Amino acid sequence: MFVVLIRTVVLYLFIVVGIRLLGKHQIGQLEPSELVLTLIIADLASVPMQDNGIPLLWGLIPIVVLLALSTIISVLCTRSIRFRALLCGRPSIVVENGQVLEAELKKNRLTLDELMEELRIQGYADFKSIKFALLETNGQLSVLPFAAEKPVTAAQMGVSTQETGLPVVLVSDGHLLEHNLKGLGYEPVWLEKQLASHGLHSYRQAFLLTVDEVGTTYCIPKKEAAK
Amino acid sequence: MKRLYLSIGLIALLAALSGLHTWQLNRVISQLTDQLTQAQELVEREDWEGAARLTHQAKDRWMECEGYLHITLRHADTDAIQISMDEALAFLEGGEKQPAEYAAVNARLLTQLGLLVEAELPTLTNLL
Repeated sequence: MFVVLIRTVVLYLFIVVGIRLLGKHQIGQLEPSELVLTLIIADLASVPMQDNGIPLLWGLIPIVVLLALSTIISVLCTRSIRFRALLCGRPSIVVENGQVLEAELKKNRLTLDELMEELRIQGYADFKSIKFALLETNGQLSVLPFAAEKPVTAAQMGVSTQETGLPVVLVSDGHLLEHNLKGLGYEPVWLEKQLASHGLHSYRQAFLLTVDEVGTTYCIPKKEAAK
Repeated sequence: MKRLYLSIGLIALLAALSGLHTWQLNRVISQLTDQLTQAQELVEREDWEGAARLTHQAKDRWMECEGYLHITLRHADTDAIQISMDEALAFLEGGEKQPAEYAAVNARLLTQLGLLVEAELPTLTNLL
């Protein structure tokens, strides 16, 4: 068992370092240590499941050790900036003032095609409008356009707007979420009125009904009801 | 900070339990090895009954720990040892006495027991 425990620690640290060295764009949305945890736990759990000759404990101990190690690492990451930088890396600026920084691309093993693909996904066809593009530690690309390229906001236009807040779902796929309705202080009579205003007789005919903080409702009727 | 201490404590606890397991296994296997070595010596002195008694004692001790060993060790290893013990007893209690065959089976059994402990030790060889 001791051997299993030490092997788990060694393998975990080894793979964390390995994934870290692979570079950010290989990771996707997870931090290196999280990715390693996901990869190993899935495999560890499957081995004792498939082989009855291996004690269940041999699968459980590594998983407990990995979860504990992961917790230690996440706590250390929150407490120490140096440790966080060492383990997760730092964001890399790959585009600055409309210019691609080739050295950073090479350092992160990111090709120009991959960079352009990411930019296109985010709605930028060229580099001219980009002030900064950063490759984040979780592998995602953040794009900050030049101030002149940013969309105009209501505040910049001097237009006063009303905060609508977070829309709350009242009806989901024909099911009434009574808890939400009561939580917002609305009565069933109010709901009936809202449904009637959208041409519906019952909440069962609604696919989705939401209400925001100012009382504006948004309704999508079910296909059968719409016919 | 509580999560950090809890996680470190959990790993320390598992390490301590693993150490305890290795110590306990070493103790049990040492007892069995002693008994089986003595049984071998008795056979060399033609005391087949005494050897059978000692081997039975060793098997009883093994069976006492069977549940624990089954939970903590690879099942194939524990099963192999149990089979070897039965084989050794069959040679000891059989009508025709075959010292050479018994010696071979007992030697294999002792090696299997030795390897069982060795595999649990946190040595560099085992880690690699």
